[in-house]
Amino acid sequence: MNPLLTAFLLVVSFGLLSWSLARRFLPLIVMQPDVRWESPGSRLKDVVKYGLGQFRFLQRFEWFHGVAHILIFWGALVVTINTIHVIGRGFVPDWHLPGFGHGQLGPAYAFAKDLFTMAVMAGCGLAIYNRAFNRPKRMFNNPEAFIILLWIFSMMLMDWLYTASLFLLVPDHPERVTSFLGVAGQQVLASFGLTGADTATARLHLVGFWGHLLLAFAFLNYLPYCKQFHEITALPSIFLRSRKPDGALARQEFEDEDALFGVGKIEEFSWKRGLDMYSCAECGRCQANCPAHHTGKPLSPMALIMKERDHLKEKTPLMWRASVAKLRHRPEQAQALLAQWDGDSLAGGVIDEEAIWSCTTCGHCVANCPMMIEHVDNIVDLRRYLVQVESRFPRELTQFFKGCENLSNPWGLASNTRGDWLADLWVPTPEDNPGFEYLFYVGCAGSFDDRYKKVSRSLIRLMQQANVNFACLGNDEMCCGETARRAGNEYLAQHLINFNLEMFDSIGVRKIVTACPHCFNTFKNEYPQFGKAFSVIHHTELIRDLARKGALQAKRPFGGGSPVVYHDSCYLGRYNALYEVPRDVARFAPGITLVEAERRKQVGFCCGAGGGRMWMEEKTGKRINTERLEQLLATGAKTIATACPYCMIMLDDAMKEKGLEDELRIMDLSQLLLDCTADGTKSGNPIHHLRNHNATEN
Amino acid sequence: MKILVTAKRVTDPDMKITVKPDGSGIDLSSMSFKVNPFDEIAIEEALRIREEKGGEVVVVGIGGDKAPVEIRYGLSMGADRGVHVVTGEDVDSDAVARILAKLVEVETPDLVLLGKQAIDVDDNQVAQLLAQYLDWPQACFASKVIIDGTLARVEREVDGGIEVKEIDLPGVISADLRLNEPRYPALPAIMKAKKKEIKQVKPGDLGVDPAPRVIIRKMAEPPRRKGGRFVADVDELVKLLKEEARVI
Repeated sequence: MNPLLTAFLLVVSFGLLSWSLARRFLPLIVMQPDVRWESPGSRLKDVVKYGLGQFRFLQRFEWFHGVAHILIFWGALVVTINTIHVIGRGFVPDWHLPGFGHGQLGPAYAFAKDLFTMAVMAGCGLAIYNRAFNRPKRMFNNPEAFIILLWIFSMMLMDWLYTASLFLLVPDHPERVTSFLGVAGQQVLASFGLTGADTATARLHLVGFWGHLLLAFAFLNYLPYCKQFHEITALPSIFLRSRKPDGALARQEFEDEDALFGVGKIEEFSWKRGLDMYSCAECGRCQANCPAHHTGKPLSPMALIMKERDHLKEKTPLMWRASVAKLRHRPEQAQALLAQWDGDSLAGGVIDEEAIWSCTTCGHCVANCPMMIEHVDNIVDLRRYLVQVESRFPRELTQFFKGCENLSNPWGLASNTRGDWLADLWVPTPEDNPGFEYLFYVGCAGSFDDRYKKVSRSLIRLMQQANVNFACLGNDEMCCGETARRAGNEYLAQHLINFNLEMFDSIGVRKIVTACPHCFNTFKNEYPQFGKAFSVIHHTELIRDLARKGALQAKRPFGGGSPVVYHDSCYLGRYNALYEVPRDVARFAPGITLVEAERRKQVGFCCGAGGGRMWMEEKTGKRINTERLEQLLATGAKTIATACPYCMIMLDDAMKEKGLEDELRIMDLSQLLLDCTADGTKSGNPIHHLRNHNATEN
Repeated sequence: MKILVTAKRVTDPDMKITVKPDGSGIDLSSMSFKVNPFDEIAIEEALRIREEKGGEVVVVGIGGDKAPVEIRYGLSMGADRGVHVVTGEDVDSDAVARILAKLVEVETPDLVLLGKQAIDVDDNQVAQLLAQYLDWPQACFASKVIIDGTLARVEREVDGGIEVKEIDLPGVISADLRLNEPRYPALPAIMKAKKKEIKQVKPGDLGVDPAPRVIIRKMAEPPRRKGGRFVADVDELVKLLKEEARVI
């Protein structure tokens, strides 16, 4: 076409783009180091599954919105090759990439290009329709989105015009054989009386060519300044996603001289968090089911990331210079530059403190973000700063922290009464039964909360029925540290973790069973960060296995109300993918009709107690536990089955508040099963049980 | 302004306390300890005064080899340095007051702030005895402290209202429950506290004989509460209150 003009456009647009990208990425250099390239093979798999495969767009809810994205994404991938061809043709007529010649992939590509151009246009159309007339609550109407969609649509139109007029000008063009869309366009133009000989056709061809090129170049340069930047950062973000187990928070180091105790400034985040901020496409999938957002709290995971991103952009001029100083090995200069910031601070300024404390760490946002942004780690980083550096947190947490610290339980009850509930159960301690197979780690709720003590007792009776060889620590048990960790008190959590690891080591623990998904998750996914892994199972796993082996026999149908709905615990489900195991336990009980709540499994709705929320007051908006109870009641269930102390206590409180004690029962799965396996007599005679063990020992 | 403040190591008030079977004392096996909550309030108040007026806060702990744990806690809250007076565990209030009096001569503070009582033995004597030994003014059970030059205005909760006392400094003030809410030490402060000085002093160096003058002969648990019971009517209630409970 016009090599000079094409070259000029190419240089200008890529020059500007490089500048924009430098502006975006240079500030990341002064952020904290974070190694994100180990096991590249699995990372590539993730890129294929979540990136190319668009796995997270096909959720049960709103799949039709996902389809629009998949059409545009896949279409754009294919059509971009054409844009490269168009650029080349600015220099050499009919230029193509190697392998795309007429005797090679050319015809096939021409067909594919047309197909995917239609896909992109259909996707844009569907997305515009969805946004305008069928907008889900999670989305907010941002004019930017419409500009972007129309922009992409226009690029497609221009290319169509380019091809259609080309076919008029060159009637024997070899691509005509397969380019059905181009031929259709040619016929449309012909129907207006245009022929290959008209200057108007030649002009239209020019308009199509330069229009497509200019729109594409301009779009490229618009990307770093809008939510569409994710076109550039998404795949790298997915490739560099966290590889730690879903249920684990990052370990914080305290020993290093310059260790940070949390994130109080944007540059104290890992650089990957910065990349994540750019990747956020503002789709709102994170907040669709966020318990805090849904019930009117000031937290939205999307708004959190967006605010941080805006803050990062605001601080870019300083961070950019600081990065340059860091690259020149002048850390003091970098620090001095960053110290010049006189705008809002991050934790408590840019991000509202109430928002930071509203998170239940339920993990819905992380599990549903197409970009695999780590919102929960992000929030915990901020909490760590507030707690450990500023000592600023909701008042109620002081008692919680002191309780864990001094008495090793959040209730702040006497630690030397922790094992009192065991007094009449004849359960051996590791000292009584050194050959124990399982350590039943009861947890704070199972030891101190009256409702959950009953669950501990049910589990013990089930284990006794099935002759499981186990031991309990009694007064020697400590808090596992999970909640303190999620409330941002990493220092306290690590103190508890290290203490427990030493104790487990000294009594020779190999397998742990817990009745609490929070203890379970931290033992399984977080304790290995501190050097020791155990085989850890949740009580529903143990019960299911015992039932399958026939060690537990159902003797009578479930005596409680049916249908039964199982409420997914976040730390069992989303964090550890145990969706079917607890349901299997319920299915094992005869006479039960199991129904499902609309929000379940991956999109299960939190009870409101995780992340330390159990110990904080809930003053803003609707109570999360009430909301969840209503969702569960909508199934018509007469019994709610839980597998977590927090869920049980929260739902129980909501039930009592509604005065539904007579119509509804909330039971742990162990209680539900015990109702069927117990034959009325005290089958698991505790004294015999202990003697049996001693007999096998001898 | 220089403030001397106390940090006694006590059994955690939330722990279940049991008396040893032979009645010789409290069973301390598997017991949690912490700084006396009233002392914690006194430390917090001292820190607030220092933050406003400047000066130094010195934390004093009197006890055995574990006493420095609580002094260190005071330092992590923000106190400047510590003094550990090394004694056995059986020092009585009078010995503590005499030790503190001698320490005041060495440290010459403008104010001594103490918890109104230690929650283990609940004697509530040290502040008063100390003021006596020093011949300093005292204001006990403070619920509010305002320092105004060399004057301390102290509010204290009494039955039916607030009593306001003014004392000249130097003086002795003891802290009541509602004086403030102690801070939760932040991590940088905890790290910093590890490097702060705790000076060891023996009672002999101060010329004090710490031998207790009050000796505990025997301890016993209070009788267990009997379960309540329902009565048929008011007449029966009145009768039982008169004859059985003998309260009316």
